[in-house]
Formats: sequence, structure tokens, C-alpha cells
Amino acid sequence: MERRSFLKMSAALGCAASVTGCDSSSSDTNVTPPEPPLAAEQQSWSSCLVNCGSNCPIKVFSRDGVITRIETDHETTDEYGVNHQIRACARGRSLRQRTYSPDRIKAPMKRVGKRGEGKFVPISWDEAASLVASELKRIAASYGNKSILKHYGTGAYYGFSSSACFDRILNLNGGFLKIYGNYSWAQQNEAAAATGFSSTSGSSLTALKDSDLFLGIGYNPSEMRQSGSGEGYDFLMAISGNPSLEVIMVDPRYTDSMAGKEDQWLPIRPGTDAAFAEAIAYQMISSGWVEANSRAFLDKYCVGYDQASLERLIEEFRASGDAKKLALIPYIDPTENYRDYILGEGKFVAEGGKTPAWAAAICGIAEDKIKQVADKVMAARAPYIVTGAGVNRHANGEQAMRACYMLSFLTGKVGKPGVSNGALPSQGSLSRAGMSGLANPVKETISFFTWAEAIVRGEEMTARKDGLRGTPDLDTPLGTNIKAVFAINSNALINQHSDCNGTAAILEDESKCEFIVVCDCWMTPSARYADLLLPDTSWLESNDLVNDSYASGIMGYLVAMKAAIKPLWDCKSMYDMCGLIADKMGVGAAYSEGKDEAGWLSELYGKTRSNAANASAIPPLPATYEEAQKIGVFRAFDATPKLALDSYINGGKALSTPSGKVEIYSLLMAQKGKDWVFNPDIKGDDISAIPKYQRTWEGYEDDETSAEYPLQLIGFHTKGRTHSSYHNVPWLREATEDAVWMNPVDANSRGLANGDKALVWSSRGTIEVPVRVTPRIAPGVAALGQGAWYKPDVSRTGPSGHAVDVGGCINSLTRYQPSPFAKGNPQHTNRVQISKA
Amino acid sequence: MTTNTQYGFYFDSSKCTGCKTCHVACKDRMVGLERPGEDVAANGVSDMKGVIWRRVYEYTGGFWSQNADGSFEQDVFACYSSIGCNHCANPVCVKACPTGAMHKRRQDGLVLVAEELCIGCESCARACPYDAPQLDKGRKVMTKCDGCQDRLQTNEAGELIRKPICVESCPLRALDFDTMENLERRYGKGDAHIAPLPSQSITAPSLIIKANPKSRGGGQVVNGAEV
Repeated sequence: MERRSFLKMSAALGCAASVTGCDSSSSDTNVTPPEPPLAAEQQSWSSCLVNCGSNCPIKVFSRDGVITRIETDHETTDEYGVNHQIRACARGRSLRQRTYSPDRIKAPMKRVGKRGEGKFVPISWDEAASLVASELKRIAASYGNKSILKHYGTGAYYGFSSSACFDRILNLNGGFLKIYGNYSWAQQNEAAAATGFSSTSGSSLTALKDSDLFLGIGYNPSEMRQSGSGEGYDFLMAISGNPSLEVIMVDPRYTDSMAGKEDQWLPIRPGTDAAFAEAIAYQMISSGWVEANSRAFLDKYCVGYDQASLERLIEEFRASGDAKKLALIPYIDPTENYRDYILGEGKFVAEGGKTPAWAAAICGIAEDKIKQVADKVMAARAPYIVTGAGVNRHANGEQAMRACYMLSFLTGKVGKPGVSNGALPSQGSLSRAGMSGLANPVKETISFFTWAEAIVRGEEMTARKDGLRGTPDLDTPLGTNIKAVFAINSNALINQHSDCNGTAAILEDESKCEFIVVCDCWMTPSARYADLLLPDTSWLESNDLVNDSYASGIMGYLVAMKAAIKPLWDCKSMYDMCGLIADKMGVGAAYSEGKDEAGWLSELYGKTRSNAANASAIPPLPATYEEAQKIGVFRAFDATPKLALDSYINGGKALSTPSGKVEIYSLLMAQKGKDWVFNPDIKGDDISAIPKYQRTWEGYEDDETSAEYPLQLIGFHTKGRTHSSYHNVPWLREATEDAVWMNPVDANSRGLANGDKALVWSSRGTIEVPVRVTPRIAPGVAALGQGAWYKPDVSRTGPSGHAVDVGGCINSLTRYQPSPFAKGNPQHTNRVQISKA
Repeated sequence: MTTNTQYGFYFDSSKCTGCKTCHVACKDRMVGLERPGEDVAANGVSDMKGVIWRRVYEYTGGFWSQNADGSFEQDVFACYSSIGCNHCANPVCVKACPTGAMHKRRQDGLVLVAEELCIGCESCARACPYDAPQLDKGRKVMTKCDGCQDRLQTNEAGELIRKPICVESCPLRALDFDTMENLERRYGKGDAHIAPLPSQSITAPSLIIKANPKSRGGGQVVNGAEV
């Protein structure tokens, strides 16, 4: 421990005093550590396939069938924007330890204890496949195919031997219940679509060369996207390449996307981003700036800015004769317009204006600073504003995202070089052909977040109350509870879903969900809740064809993966295990279509190779997959900046909103806000046509909970995991401590010092974690890296009345309460108390 | 002590995000070297907990106050220092070593451990202000950053084309390694070493630093558990 006190100035004295002894300089070269016998090693290409947005190439070295070390892409001269290397982060570099982790699931296993106890016995693959086949048949016959759910799972982004193999067997069984949305972007996807674009359609970071102001609200690429060719690297290169760019970051944490790269950090209270945005809007409108500078833009490209805009929309819809537009007219209320709302005029006169003074007291950013930011936004020639996904994972994240999106449009400059629309930046990608899951006859889909509720009351869930989709009308229920769950590379069965303790209680009742299959490589907390465990091969044991994934930076790439070693223990690839199940179901031929692994890879590679999107790949894709596996990595960088809404603003192509324009007043939100049912007891459970800051349950202004739970708690993406993937790697646990961040003010008042163990609790549960006392978090706010593995210690009861989760999973504290529109996860809206353990 | 060539590191603190890729890439290499032939399928890969050959120190400071309306004022900063061994011109670890195991290699200036001479007394670890010597408790010998001497390769022009694994791993390209002559040609002499690094006058480290623009005194290393 004493060495840890080094690197403090005080240490210098101590070591100076110990400079004694003789000079033992040596020219002896015969004293080197053991040389690694490099010659005997073999090398093959793999790829890290977790859900961080990138699938970085991994160079695997092995000897005698054992992996000896990990490297990454070092195949080029590494010129940024030309051929830069796709370097894996700490997680990819730890893959040797992860692959040989003692908690690998080594054989198919059947549950023997109570569900959730984690007691299993190994069984043969034959028995496992027969069990899946017979249960699928039984459950479909007894409850219908809608009762079989394939759960959200993002632990392995394979192209060929992916979870689509499970889709194939489930569809060959007559279909299954699908989900829509995801735990990352549920609210922002709906918010952006309602406004007129995709939540990842922002201008590319290369466009920043033309910008003079960068305003990031909850934007943190350096921690989110760590790949050495990822968005974090693009961000660094973009801002360092434009020294005249002013960078302002708004976040409750002083993130590593700052750490010296920013001009200004504005700490903000969680869930109050909309108040901050509205105060900037107030400055822009009340000063007359919008009227003088962007009114023409708003009139031409947007609807809902003011009363006149909505009155014109009604006229236009009436004149169109289009039945869909006519049906929307009753949902257009011109008095409910953005300008009046922001200024506190018209029907909003009683509310008052959304002034900087009003916002400062809520969001924590001082009034003068809000005014300064507003001045900068107005003065900027080319403002690039972006809102990160942390803003969306809140009780009413839909409204918060839309409120922030408005700022770009108020500038009237969207479509110009260097300007964005508020969405996450567009990125590059090469395209790989993937395994088909076959057609699914079941038309209903549920929000990904409502699956556990659907185990309890799926029968009665409807579109109007629960966001059910694919039903003929708002009130036709799903008609069945979920009776079987397939969790494939998914730790959302317990760990990544809200309210672990509540979810555990649902899953433990074996009369409710009758069959749970978990397919994974490691004994995750979710795996403990399986009835049947199917051991997957890890990436390093797999042949596959993958691309860069979905948010991997501007560099697009493909990796032709080749297994470095044979499948460990009794593990099988998903393609092979589902083939065994298909045989037991009697549908083996339909499953395989007569192809083996090599046949599929050859076919998928052929489709990938002929895809025009991959024509720019360097080196060009060779004739056969085997040749591609020898080369490993293929890349392409498109340096042309992509501009948000370019095809609409500069190309005249209508948007997909009902009006075809940017909808400040969202017609879809207006409609659903009127037609759907909300719970008046849930504060902030509301959909409004224009974006509005919401006082939500357990938000900063929720005085019902603030006395008992004085701290707001947010999760963040720790650098030592991707969600819950890699949690079981000791090297990473050592490199990146899991600790709850607390401001010195909050820590001192509780007698907590750096490294102390603390109990953190909400009404849903209690966790035990060390404290990181740091000024990098706002007072009144605590932050915890999400994804640590849920580990309730039943011998200890926490202040919440639940077993203390000594694993420190944030979802022991989060609430299951679907958001109003997306029915998404509000996992950053939490109030907690913290005390010394 | 003179050497023909002196290898050293360059570190750009303005780019570093504290991602620990260098730390883990180094650990994968070093554990493989320290524990060759272990039965990984049966027992997993050794943790070698607490033995960290390249460490990333997070130095953080600043203060908060609150306005009457509850809004905040602050002057917070944070920056990282990624440090392995600086293969110092004046290596205090070498001077502290009672057996001569810790030595500075003449032809390239790398500071290395002659393991057959090491008695594991940790005198070097106590002397080094950078925490470079890391005791392998299992083998009871001192280990440290060896500049990835087995990886280094030069091309026909004499340019170093394979560098230490930490340098080649860095996602932000914040690290470099070369002869000090070449590094100075590429980056100049760099910025003065300020907190949390000790004064260069103690060991004359072969380390050129580009300082983080926000870095200043008055902070502290807050990630003791990670280094």
C-alpha cells in the first residue's frame, strides 16, 4: 500500500532520502527476463462483440491450442482519417482472462434448486435440445406463441452465429413475441422520430471543422465509445483540429470527455436538462433574436413555433383532403404553441416565462451562465449542439430530449456547414450480411421494458395503457401472459432491467413464467434465473463475419473472424446448438437450409462482398471467406462531412412526420397524449404536443421523496465494463474501481471518506459499494457505474428492507416505471440515501 | 553513467481519457511472461492482483460553492498521468538496490531487473517516486516495465516500427516511445513535470510530458484503488 502514497509531492522527500548505495550500472546484457517464444505462436483475427457501439478487431495469439496473449489492429501506418488503426480498449485487451474465466458455463445445465438459487446439474446436449423442443411445443399449444418471448440481449454482436439462430427455431415453432425499443435509446428514439429525424442523425463529427461552438448536453463519447477508432477518438481529433471551436459541456459529472478538452463545464442536476434548454430558448425569443434571425426558418421548415404556425397547419391539412391529415386536425391546438409556453403568454400566462432565473434554481446552472450560453448560441456562426442519451433515460426522457432538440432549430441554421440538429452524430459503417431469423407470424410487439410486467399481466396489456403494438386497435389486449423467456446473451433478465429485487420476485414464482432459457458464456446474475443453461462459445472460439457495429466512429470496417482455439469444454456455437434443437423439433432441414457453418459463412461473405456499400473497403474483399480470414480487417473512412437534415433543408425531401416538417408541435405526441391513458399518481406521466420540462417522480423537484432520499442518483457507463459485459474480469475490476461518486460536501456531511464502504438505498433496495469522494460530481448528486453484477447477501437486510446487494448493481435501486411515450427505462431517475456501512 | 542510446516515453495528458487500455494491455503481456504455461483452462488466467506495471493516476481538484438560489459555482479540473517506468538517467532504484539486481543497461538506457540477483527486498520500490518496481509476490522477485524490449523493432532506416505494447494500444495516441533524441525532435522538451508527478530533478526521468491545459496544483490522486 505504501507505494500508493507515491506520486504525491510529499513522496519526493522520502525517496530523495533513500538514494543511497552504489551505482550498479551494468553493461551485462545477459540478464533479461524470459523471452517469449514468439515463433511457436499462431495468430488469428477475432473481434470484441459487446454493446459499446464498436466491434474492435482483436488479434489473438495462441500456442498449442491455448491463447497466450491479445493484441489489436496494428496493420496500417495509423494516419487519422486515412487508415487509422482500430485499436481495442482495455476491455478487448482483457479477453484472455475473460475467455478462461472460471465462471464460464462449461456444459448444458438444468436447474435443480428453486429458480434463482443458482443450483444446476450438467446434462447432455441431447437432453438439453429435447427439453427446449418439447417445452416450445407444450407452451405454444397451451398458451399460444405470443406467450414465448425472446428477450432483449446485446452481449454478442455476431453476424452469422448470432441470436438470430434462436429466432429461427422460435419461428419454426410458429413464432414468438418480439420487443420494440431498447434500454439505451428508447425515449430519444421516440422523441427524435416525433420531431422529424432519427436520434443518431446528427451531423458527423468531421463537420466540426466548420463549427465555432460546441454545446454538448450529457454528451460523453470518451467514456461511451472507447474504441481507438471510435467516436471518442473522432471527438478528440475533431475538437483538437479546430482550435477556434469553443466547447461547452453540460453534465452532472465532470466526464473524461472533458478532463481538459473543454472550455467550460456546466454541472447540471439530473433530469433538469429541459429547464436549462427552455431558459436558453427564453433568452433567444424574448430578446427578439428569433424574430429577427430565425423566424423565416421556423416558418418554412418547422410547425408549432407559434399560434399562427399551427393555424396555418390546420388550414393546410383541411385543404389537403388527405384522410390521415384530416383525422389529425382535432389534435392541433394552436394555443398550445412553443413560443407562448416559453414566454409564459397566452394560455401559459399563469405559469410565467421560462426565464434563466426560473431555470437556475432547478437545474443548478447559475442565471448569468445560462444567459452567457444563450448569447453564445445566438452569436455562433455555426453552432453544433448535441444531446446525449443520458438525458433520455429519465422518467420523462422523451420531453427532455425534445426540449434540447429545439435549440438547434431556434438558431435557424440547421442544414448549414458545421451545424447539427441536436441528435447524436452520424457515423460510418461497412455492411455485413447476417443470419436471417425467418418470418415471425406473431404481429404483436411489446416495449422491451415491459416484459416482466407482461409475465404478470400480459393478458390485459393494451396499446392505450401499455404501448402494445401490432394490435387492431387501442383496446385489444395481448391476451396472454408470458410463459417462456429466451434470454440470449442477455443480462437483462435481472441485472440490466430496473428493480432487480422486484424482478427477482416475479421470476422466482415458477407458476408464472414456466420456462426460462439462458444462453451465455458466463454465469451471470441472469443465468442464475434460468431453468436451462446453454453454454455458448466465446468470440475467440468462433468463426464469424462482423462489421463495425452501430456507433463505431466514422471509420467503417469488417472483421473476418477465425477461431483461435477449439470450443472450450462442452460449449457450442449458437448456430450448432440451435441446429440440435431444430433436429429435435423435426425442422432440421428448414433450419439449416442444407448448409453447414462453412456453407453459411461462404454465402454471407458472398453477399457482403457484392454489397456496393463495401466497394470502398481497403484492402478490397478477396474472393473467398478463407482468404478474408487471413487478412482479418477491412476498413473505409468517408471524410465527407454528413450534415443533419441535409436532404430536407437543402434537398427539399419531406420528413416522415405527419406534416412532413420538423414538428416542434408533434402531432403524434398530441394524438397519443389525448388517446392514451396515464396514471395521475405517477408524477410526470404525461405526453405533451410541445416539449415541456416535467416535474417527475423522484426528480429534483419531487418533494414527496426528497426528505427521505435527499440525493439524486444517476448511472454512467464505466470504462471497465460495457454494460454488464466484462464485469467478471479481475484485471478490469482492478483497473476501474466500482465506487459511488459523491461530492465532498455530501460525503463530509455523512462522515464518508474516499474508499469507505457505504450503503446506498432507495425504496427498492440497498447496495454496498465503496465511496469515491470527488469534486467531479455535482452536490446533491451521486453517480455509479452501471452494470455491476447483482449479488444479494440474504444474511443482511439493508435500510430499505431488502437483502443488501454486495455486488453493487445500480438496478437494485432503480424503479420499474415505464416512461409515458416510449414505455422506456427511467434508470437515471432515482432518489437515494447514503450512509457509512 | 553514460549510455549510447536512451529510450524514453512521451505522454500527452491533454489527450488521455484515463481509459486504462495501456494498463490492461501491459498486464496481459506481463502476466503472460510472469506466468507462462499456467493451466488457464483449469484455473483461469492469474490476476496478479495489485501488480500494475503501467499505472494511470487521476489527479483531481477544485472547489464548489452554492448561490442563494441553489445554483452552483465551481472550478473543478481533472487530468491523468500514465506512467510505467521512466528508465531514468539517474535511477534511484538502481542506487537503492543492495545486490545489483536493478541495473541500467548501457546500450539503450533501459532499467531492468536481473532476477537471479534479486532478493525481493523492495528497496527499489521504496526509492522510486513513480511506483515503477512491482513485486511479484508469487515468485518473490521484483518486476517492472522493461520497455517491451522483446517487441522493439527498427526498420532499415533505423526507425522504431514496433514499440512497447502500451504505446501501440493507446486509443487516443497519447503515448509514444523512442530514443530521447528522436522524441525531443518530435515533441520538443515538453512541459515541466507538475503535480502529481515528482520533480524531474530527483531521477532525471526519460519522460517528455505534454501537460493537460487545465492541470494545476492543489489537487490530489483520487484513484488509489486503481494504481
